[in-house]
Amino acid sequence: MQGDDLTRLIVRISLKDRAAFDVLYSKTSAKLFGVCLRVLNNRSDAEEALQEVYVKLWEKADRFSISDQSPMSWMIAIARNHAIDRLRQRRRPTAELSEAFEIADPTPGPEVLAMQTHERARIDACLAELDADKASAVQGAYLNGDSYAELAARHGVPMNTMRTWLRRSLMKLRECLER
Amino acid sequence: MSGDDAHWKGVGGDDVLAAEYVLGVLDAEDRAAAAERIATDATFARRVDRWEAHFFPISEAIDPVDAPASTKRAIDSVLFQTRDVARPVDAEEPGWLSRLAFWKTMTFAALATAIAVGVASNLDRIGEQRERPPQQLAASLTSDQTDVRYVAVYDRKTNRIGLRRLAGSAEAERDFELWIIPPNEAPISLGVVPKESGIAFAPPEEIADKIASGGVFAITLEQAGGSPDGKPKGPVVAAGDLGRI
Repeated sequence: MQGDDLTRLIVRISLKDRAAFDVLYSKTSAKLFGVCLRVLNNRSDAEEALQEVYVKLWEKADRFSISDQSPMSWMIAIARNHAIDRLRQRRRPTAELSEAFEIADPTPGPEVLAMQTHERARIDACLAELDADKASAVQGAYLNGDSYAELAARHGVPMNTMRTWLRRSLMKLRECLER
Repeated sequence: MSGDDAHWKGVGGDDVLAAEYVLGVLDAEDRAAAAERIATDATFARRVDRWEAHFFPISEAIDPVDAPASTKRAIDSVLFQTRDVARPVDAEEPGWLSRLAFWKTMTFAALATAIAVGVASNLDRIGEQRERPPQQLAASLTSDQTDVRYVAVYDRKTNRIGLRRLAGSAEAERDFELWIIPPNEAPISLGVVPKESGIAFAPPEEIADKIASGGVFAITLEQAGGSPDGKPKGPVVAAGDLGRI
């Protein structure tokens, strides 16, 4: 769906136009449900999260115009953030993290390959400048909502090391994105 | 936040924090702190927006998945608190009365309408109930929004309601009130729920048949002493439909 059409719908929703809300839902709910499923990995959690996301979209539609984002980016941000908040609220026994102790695969993950088939975005080019495992960690975190603790366990390093790696990667990305 | 964060603060730390928030790597506490800053610090909010826009193309890797139809209905019932009376109940939808999603923020008007719609499309069940009223009914009273849980049983022969509290209680100065909502009718008060965890009492004889014909048991949170005018005023804290044992 064209960005202009989505923008118009969101503006109408901010004026409490219920018909516009129904159209926005029919055009975007599958994508946002995919986002919630990816983060939460549990169908009934994702269904509840999706309900809450659309309630938020209805209530926050007026905030869209003051954000710097495109409509789909704005909506996906709301969906991802909500799903990750729910994920963080799940009680996780600490034993689970030690079981997830793995060494990262240095070859590019499927996310990188999928992106290479689309029009090159700046983030794509900048991620390619990082080490493959760092790029994979960044994309995996974005898509799955991995916490520092989970990333550290998966890469087999202490949490402070993971923080340092990731922050250095983010600073490199920023430098590349702002060129 | 950990000790090494001071080291990063001087090196564009705020911007990196915004990126960490967007990526989702922060723990629950740090996420909450960042979310608070977004609400109160416009500069930080803009940094977060910029990183969202930078990372957004990665989301192309996420495949769309159709959400079930029940999700949109639940959203509509939360936002708009009405149920379209003209729209017939989906014949394949199982036990819709017991789907608690509808009770999240329902007012009694909406709940009674929903029951009316359901009853209208289940004429066979009503006919059956008129011929052979069940002698014993039970309801499990719960809610997605509260931790209140009760079990209710009703025995027609002795006209006794048994009510057992499993969890939850009214705050000081407030009381739980129990209601029966017969099909197609307004709620009828069965009185304030005493604080004891298990009680049995006899409802008025004239409504015994109404209770025996089924409907919904609901508990609302009212002022001390219960609603002053016999109509539910407070929110529904638990509800369940009466079924045969």
